Amino acid sequence: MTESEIVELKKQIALLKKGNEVLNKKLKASEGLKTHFISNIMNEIYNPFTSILMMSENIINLDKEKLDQAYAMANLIHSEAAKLDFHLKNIFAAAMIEAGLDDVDCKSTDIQKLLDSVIRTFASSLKNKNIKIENTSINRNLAEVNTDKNKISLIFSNLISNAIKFSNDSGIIEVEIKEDNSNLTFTIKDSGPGITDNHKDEIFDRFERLDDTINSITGGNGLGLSIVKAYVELLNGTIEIKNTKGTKITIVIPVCTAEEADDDLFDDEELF
Amino acid sequence: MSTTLKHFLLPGMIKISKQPMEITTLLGSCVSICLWDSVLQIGGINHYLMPLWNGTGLASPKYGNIAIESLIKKMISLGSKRENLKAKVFGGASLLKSSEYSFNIGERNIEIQESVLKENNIELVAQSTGGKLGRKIIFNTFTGLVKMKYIKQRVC
Repeated sequence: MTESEIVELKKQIALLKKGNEVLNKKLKASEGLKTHFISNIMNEIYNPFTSILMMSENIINLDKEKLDQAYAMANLIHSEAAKLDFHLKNIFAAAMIEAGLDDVDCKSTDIQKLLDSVIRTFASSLKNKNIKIENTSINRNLAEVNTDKNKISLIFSNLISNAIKFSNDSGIIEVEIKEDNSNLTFTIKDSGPGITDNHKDEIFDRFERLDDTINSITGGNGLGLSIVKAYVELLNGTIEIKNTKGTKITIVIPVCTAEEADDDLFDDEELF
Repeated sequence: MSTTLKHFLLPGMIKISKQPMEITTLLGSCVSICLWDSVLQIGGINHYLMPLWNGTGLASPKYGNIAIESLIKKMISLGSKRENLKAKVFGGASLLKSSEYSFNIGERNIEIQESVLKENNIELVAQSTGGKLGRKIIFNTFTGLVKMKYIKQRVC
């Protein structure tokens, strides 16, 4: 073995050792994370459900002429049901990804309209923290693009939900969409404390919570960003995280192109 | 006109079918295992990118250890018996120069299938793995036959 081969081998052993240490740390954390996940999911699902039950019961017992009160409660029911819907979508999405049964389903999508509709579902969370979302897109009239609408919608939802969680009260979240060279670029910047460089990769891990104290306040099931990462990869895109007085996340996703032609007759095929 | 269903399998996914289906996928350093039940004449295929899940991201079939076990379980859930399952393995090319990437992902992807198939007592009946070129394969889930050609484009 030559000297350079020995050096290369030593480098590889060092890398393996480092990988092993990381794996060991993750294994140790795994059990704790599972427990945390179950208790959190109980809160995320049970609380909205209890609210829906109570408020609908209140509406049933209301005097018939108190329509304005019924309207206010129906609004609350809708907002709680939207929270529930979001958490369930995340759980089902993670289950589909982990089963390997998901697929890309592209259709013509009005991406600004989609973003606006996703933002509307967070109206009550935004109001509660007095946070404003500013759409800084230069072109608000983008042509429809061919993409997987449901996946993009869940990516938007998770990134917005995350930005709301970590933004300070009365903060501003900036969102921007642009399309160029057949790529769709979505940027979201929150007004939170930002994220340290060594935590940038970890936030995409399943059930990951960087700080239990913060998370106990902010809630969430710890699945959201791991779903964002899996969906972006499935759509052949990229994610970039930057610290700029808050966390700035940029995702770039190529628009769908026609699938490779099904040329089942190869001219130089081999048969197995 | 052929009535065989067609499907394009994306990286990190699994497809199994009771109906005759032609499943196409493109492989670079990734590996696909085609499992075929010679008695029921049904089949399934995975397409994994990395050998082992290391706790990062979701535990998806993007990782070999999860993709292979999951494919076997899905075939058994369709009524297959382990002893009737035959495996054909493709991919695991080294598309990068060794200096570009010290741990050859392709080779490690091939290694993991050997150990997991062995552990599950599944017979490996054919393979085309390694080398420097990517591959395009079409797996027929009814006949178990796999058409393969080498491709020059860079795929995962």
